[in-house]
Amino acid sequence: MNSNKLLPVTKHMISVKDIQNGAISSRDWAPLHSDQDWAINEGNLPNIIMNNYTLNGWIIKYMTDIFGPSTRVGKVGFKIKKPICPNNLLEFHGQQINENIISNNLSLMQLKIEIKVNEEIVASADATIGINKSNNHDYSPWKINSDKWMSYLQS
Amino acid sequence: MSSNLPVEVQKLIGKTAIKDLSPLKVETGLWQNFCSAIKDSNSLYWDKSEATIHTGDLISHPALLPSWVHDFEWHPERERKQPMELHFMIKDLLSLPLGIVTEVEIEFYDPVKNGDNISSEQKLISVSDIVDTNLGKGRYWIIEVKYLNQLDILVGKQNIQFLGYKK
Repeated sequence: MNSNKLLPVTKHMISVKDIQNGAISSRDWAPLHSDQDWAINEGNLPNIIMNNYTLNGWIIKYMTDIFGPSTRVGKVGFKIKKPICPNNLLEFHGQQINENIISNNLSLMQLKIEIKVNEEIVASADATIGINKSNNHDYSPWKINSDKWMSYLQS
Repeated sequence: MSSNLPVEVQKLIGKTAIKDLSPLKVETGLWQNFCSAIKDSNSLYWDKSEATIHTGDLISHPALLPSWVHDFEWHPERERKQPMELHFMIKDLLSLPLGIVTEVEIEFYDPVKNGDNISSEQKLISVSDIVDTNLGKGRYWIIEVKYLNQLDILVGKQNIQFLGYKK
């Protein structure tokens, strides 16, 4: 079922520490995420840049904050168009573009997310998530066995 | 396939070239450190009683799946190995010393929990022709990585596109 529901916009000011902390806590030791001198002088980059695990973390957080903690993230595809650097105010803009109703209680949602800095898109993502449409935990998307879950993601 | 690609790189395309055994076990404190870095309060990562209802136990943040095969920066007994070793092999073979991630597609199957051991299999899918970018001259390549747990169950898969370049 096609839908074009806009999701709330969230904003986060990204600091040097946010980028270093994200990279180090994901054990990504590449200096372009933690060493400003190296990033600028050796990496030919404007500053240290957010690593892809951290960006994926922020994208997943955006979705689960909106749809609830029991949201099951199935697939995330993202493109990084411009490096995300310290002092960037990241704006997350999302849209629900499709809903695949699996049962009365379970839907697979397809979302499009744009991450903007100063109105310019710096990264974009497409994601598929499973959500429980009821208040009954028996229908949590996490109760779906992995074979069935994988088949939903391929369909 | 891209033209003028060194034979050593051509030979890697379509084959699983690297298998990485997990250097460390999945640990709650390690993923909560990451959740703290991105200010993610999702109860499935933090609150055992809430997580038990959905996933049977706390689960690791999904975005950390690839990092469970990354070792510590230093360890008293282990030699440090490069994470995404295949990427560094290709950079060397193509004499492109710098590299960044430009595109990722990742799928999550079974959740990862405390005590799991994750291993990975890396396969080169494709390499582009030489391109001119803002960062310098280089090539794009795509590596597929499969992630398995200690029971050899596929828990996730990603295709990751890199840009290798030189100033």
